[in-house]
Amino acid sequence: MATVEPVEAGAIGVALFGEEISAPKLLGALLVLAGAALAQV
Amino acid sequence: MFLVPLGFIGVGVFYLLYFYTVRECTVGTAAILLYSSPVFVVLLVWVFLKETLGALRLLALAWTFCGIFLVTRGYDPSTLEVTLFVLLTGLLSGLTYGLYSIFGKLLSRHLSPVTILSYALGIGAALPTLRTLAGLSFGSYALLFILALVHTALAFGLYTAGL
Repeated sequence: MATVEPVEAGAIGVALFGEEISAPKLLGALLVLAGAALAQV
Repeated sequence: MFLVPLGFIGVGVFYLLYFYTVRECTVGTAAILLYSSPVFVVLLVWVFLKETLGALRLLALAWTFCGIFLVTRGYDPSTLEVTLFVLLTGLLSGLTYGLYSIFGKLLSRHLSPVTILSYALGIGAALPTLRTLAGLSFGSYALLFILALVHTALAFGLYTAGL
């Protein structure tokens, strides 16, 4: 559940507000989400 | 004992920092900065509760900070996506969100989720309410009502119940 919200926020940001999503940003987001998930193991 | 910091820091200060970050950068970046929160919790329990870090948690720390570096375009300082101040408010929103979990966990041993939630939202609401309510439009009040009822009371209620 902890990783759903930023994914949802990122997708809505791209879809509704036309926010840019680049490859480094996507990779960074995945790293943060993986870190958040790993910290709770 | 922890009700005041829970409400003041974990709700009031958190929301001020988070909404400031959302206003100053993209929604996606603000949300990612907020999700530095679990790593802050790991660091706080390591410092204050003397829990061990372990290899997995150290790896989580490294991944999180590498991720934030990429998301904010730290690899190209001339095109940084956020100013250092906004980066700081985003990370502090993660820290204060993490503190909500820590204070909430300590309080949940003695109080019911409904009691914790009532005090936390009441104390937390005092900070922004005093500053911002005057002079808003009807549409703004309607959006604030939805934000308060669905995205705050319901979300925090469910989260606190799960602690």
